[in-house]
Amino acid sequence: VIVVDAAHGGADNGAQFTDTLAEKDVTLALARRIRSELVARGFVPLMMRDADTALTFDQRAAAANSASATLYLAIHASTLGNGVRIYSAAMPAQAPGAARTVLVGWGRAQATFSANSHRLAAAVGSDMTSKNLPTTATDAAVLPLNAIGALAIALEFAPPPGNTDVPAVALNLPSYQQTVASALADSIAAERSILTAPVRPGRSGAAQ
Amino acid sequence: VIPRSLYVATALLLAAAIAMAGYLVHLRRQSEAEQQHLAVLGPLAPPASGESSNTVLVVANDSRGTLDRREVTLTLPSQPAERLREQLRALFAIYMQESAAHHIGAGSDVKNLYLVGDDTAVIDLTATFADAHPSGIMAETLTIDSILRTVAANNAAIKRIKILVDGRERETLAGHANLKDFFETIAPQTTAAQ
Repeated sequence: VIVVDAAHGGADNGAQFTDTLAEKDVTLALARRIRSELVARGFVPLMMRDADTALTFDQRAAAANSASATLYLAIHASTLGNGVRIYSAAMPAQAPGAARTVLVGWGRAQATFSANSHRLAAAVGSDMTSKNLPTTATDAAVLPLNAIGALAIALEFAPPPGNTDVPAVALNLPSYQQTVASALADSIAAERSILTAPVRPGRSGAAQ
Repeated sequence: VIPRSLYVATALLLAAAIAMAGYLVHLRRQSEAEQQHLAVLGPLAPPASGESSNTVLVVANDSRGTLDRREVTLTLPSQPAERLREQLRALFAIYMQESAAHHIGAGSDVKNLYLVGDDTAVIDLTATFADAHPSGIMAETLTIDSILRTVAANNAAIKRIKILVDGRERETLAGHANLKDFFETIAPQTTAAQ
């Protein structure tokens, strides 16, 4: 099961790219394409929202946790930079075995999964780049990434190269969204083994 | 019979009272305009009193997605919290220039900065800072990382940082970056590519 979370929604527009185009609309359109591509590759995607719905961060985290998901994909959009950026949770280093022997605070629930999350982000980033879709994998302290018991990747995609003069329009191009969705699903499928790898203690997210 | 001189004196006093009231209104409007002007300008320059000190500012660049070290000389107060506050205000002043490679909203400022214990700083930013900040993971992460690295570069003892907005805890900076938790400072010598 993979939870696909189109970020923002309802009164929360996210970034406002133009008078008529908000981040919440771009993320929903891309999330729907990713869902279709994941289904085609044998995954079971669950949409966090499939309409212009307002959800709090806690509601998103609780829904992802209760879905027993292997992977949580938060979809974002941005007009900064070029290509795709994959973020995994920036988490403080965790002592080996700590998650299994002591209670873990809610804010660090993701730390247990962060090593696999970083491995997956790097592998998917590298795979997508090899398909001529420039992708950068990095860390970010983004909500609700730090509060779910699943792998967490936030995808932020910026205008494709050559379209920087019309970034907002480029973000909403069906052909570009389809390219990103297809490449992402391909890469996740190729790195499927990481999703089922044993959970290891997280690494430091401070040094980028 | 009321003497004519009393009429004249009363009229003069009334005229003076009206003139003073008008002047008071004028002064109030002038003061409000100055406050608004200062808010638009953003942080004031560091105070002239104090010693000149080398300061490292870790400055974000949106197009390159990097954080770059920049050494400047500032006149800074001696008290550590005030000193750090002025250093961050100098960083924000760069971001509020039109030609900046990374932007924050006009009028953004550090409202207060507290040092707690030996290793913790609480940075209280103005509501304008968060409300007018560009929304996006990259934009917000660059801002926060530049703050964390600037603090680390100028006060190595600080290891943990809590960011408040207008004296209160806030979920995110502008819809993305998590402000609920404490941050650990980031080594300033690293130039990070986002």
